[in-house]
Amino acid sequence: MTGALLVTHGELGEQLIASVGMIMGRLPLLKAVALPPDGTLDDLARAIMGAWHALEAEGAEHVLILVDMFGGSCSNVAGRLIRDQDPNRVALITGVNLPMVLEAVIDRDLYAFENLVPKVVEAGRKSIVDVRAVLLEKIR
Amino acid sequence: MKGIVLYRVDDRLVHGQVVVGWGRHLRANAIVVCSDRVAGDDFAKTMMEMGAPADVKVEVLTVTETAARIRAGAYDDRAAIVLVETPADALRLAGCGVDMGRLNIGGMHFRPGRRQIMEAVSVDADDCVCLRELAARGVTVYFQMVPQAKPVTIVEKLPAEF
Repeated sequence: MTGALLVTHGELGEQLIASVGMIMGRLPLLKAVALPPDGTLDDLARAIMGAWHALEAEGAEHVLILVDMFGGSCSNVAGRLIRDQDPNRVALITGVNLPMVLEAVIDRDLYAFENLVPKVVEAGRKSIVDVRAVLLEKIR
Repeated sequence: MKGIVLYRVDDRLVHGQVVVGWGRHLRANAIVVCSDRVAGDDFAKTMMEMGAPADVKVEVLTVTETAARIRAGAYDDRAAIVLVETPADALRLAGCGVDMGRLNIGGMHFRPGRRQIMEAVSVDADDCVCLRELAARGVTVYFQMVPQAKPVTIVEKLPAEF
């Protein structure tokens, strides 16, 4: 199964996991690492590796790292860590939101890892909707 | 699984727990919002229809329409979730000849005049009457908010009187 690792500026990742709990209940192989306001990038790299290895120790065959913002410290550090890794072992996606985390965990046993990754990207893109524009179009 | 895969009382009707939590878990491809109130409110109806992904068909129907569609076998080739807002609507559905077998109690949120019997479930006197009547008709009434939680039978938790 795929493990999911959220890496975010502050506690966003932990809170996203709490939000997943409201919708699905508690799920295994889902962890978060926070970059605290005074955190160093070396500490962040160590924390990511620690959580990554913990997921693997718990049975994750693949790890999907979800970070909050492309170009931010979390994505820069995680990007460096995965650079020389087998793409079938680990992937990194930026711009994490709740539908992406849900997509990453709900049907993860149904898809090969290389197919799960684009599904998570698509779930994130499709979740962004200008409600007024869509509603007005529907009611007209 | 085919046919009606879940009957659920949920005062929020179409929302994340239902669409993503239960919908994905049960591989549902249809959601029936069984509510006279929503069926008569175009705005609420559109919001419900928009709340589900494109591959999940949302129907908003009155209680009697829902019963007629179920009895006619309209969902036999689908995997449908039927949502009602209240135990009273579930009982009306049963009264129209729908044999639901099991009834999931999701959110029945607290409002003044209700008594909380467990997390996310509060009841008033009418809810108690309807839930007991459903149980008496052989429906297994159980509380389970999300798929990963344990189902809990509910009727014995209802207060004896108000």
